[in-house]
Amino acid sequence: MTRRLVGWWFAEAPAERLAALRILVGTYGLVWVVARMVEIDRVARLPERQFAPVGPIALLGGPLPRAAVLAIAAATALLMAAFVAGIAYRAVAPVAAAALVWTLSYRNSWGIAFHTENLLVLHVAALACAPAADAWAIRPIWRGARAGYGWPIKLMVALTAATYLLAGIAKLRIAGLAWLDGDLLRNQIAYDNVRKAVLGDRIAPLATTFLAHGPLLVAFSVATLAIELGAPLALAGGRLARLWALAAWGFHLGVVLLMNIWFPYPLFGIAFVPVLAPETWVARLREWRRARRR
Amino acid sequence: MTRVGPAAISAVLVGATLWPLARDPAKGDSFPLSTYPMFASGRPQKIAISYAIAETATGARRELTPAHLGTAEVMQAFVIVDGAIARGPAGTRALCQEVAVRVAGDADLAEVARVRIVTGMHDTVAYLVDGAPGTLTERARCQVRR
Repeated sequence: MTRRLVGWWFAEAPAERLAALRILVGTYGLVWVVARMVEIDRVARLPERQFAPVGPIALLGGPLPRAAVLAIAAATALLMAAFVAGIAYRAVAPVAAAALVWTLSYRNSWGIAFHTENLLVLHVAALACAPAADAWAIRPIWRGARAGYGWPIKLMVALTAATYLLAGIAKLRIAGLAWLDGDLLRNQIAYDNVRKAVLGDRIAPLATTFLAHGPLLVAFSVATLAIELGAPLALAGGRLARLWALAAWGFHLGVVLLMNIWFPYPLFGIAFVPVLAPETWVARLREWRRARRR
Repeated sequence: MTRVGPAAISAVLVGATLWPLARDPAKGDSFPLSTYPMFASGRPQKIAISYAIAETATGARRELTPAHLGTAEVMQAFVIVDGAIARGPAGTRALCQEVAVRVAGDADLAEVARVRIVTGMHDTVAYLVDGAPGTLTERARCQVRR
């Protein structure tokens, strides 16, 4: 049993697949940090009384000076760029992951913890501990990873599954099976959209339709819980994993349509790339270009 | 032996991600290790929501954005308002004046004469489906000085 488990966890995968994940996840992290720079600056100006540190930020006695916050965020962006390029990866990647954890934790330390960045941070941490720059990197170091290239990919899928599973378990622990009756979700959708409406933000395009037709929300509630509690199916790999990923992506699309809440990491598909074979996309692209030249 | 390190890394990362299961999901949320409690709690259909509004001299309402409260995030904006109200009338007035200063610098809101921090009692479903506005209780009011 243990041998089968070890064999499954360490099943081989090409170095290019892990490298593709490094490039895709790292590029997303880089773009995210750069895109959030204005918001990072805004939270750095918030008064100290609103400071509510989470994660490693709890080590601080109070907020950092604005210049320090911006300097760390800029350094994080540079480190993520080196992470993507695979420069001095064994040294740079763990520092980049730590910087990303720090910068995003700081952004979440002002009274509300967002849930749009957790999986990104976990995936970057997993990649930082792996031989993810043995291919498709600037000056790749072909060391031939002794444990192979499959386990970090399995780890990323496990982390994805764990976060969705936790969300499903939280619903059952907090609300129980009452979460499925549709009323709880209806009130959540209504509350969230009213908050947007009173502050001049756009409400979700399908919110009023679904609120006026309650039974539709029962189906959405059941599907949500099934997708979250069914997340470990992604570890099965193959078609089952891809079907789960498609369902989870559809769930996030539903959240946009009902609540205008965007989880960009899964919506752009990056969260689910570990269940795919992204290295083959490059090969296909090359074939397509070759065919066009003929 | 070559697999010991990767196995340990895998166990630590998966274990850390699942560690919040040991906490109360409603109270123990954090970052980056979360209990993921979003959308899990029950909310009443009729609920009090505090926010800032802008009005012209004739009382016509103009829309504010989270940026007028010092953030780009809607949810962060509500945390800011709730925090100010929790600090009492002086904290609420201070926030009102901060918003008024930002409004004064916003050319799109040139006709706005005052800012109010209010608590609205809204039937959230009726508000969205039927346009029922609910009732407002004023917490603070301040003039926009240009």
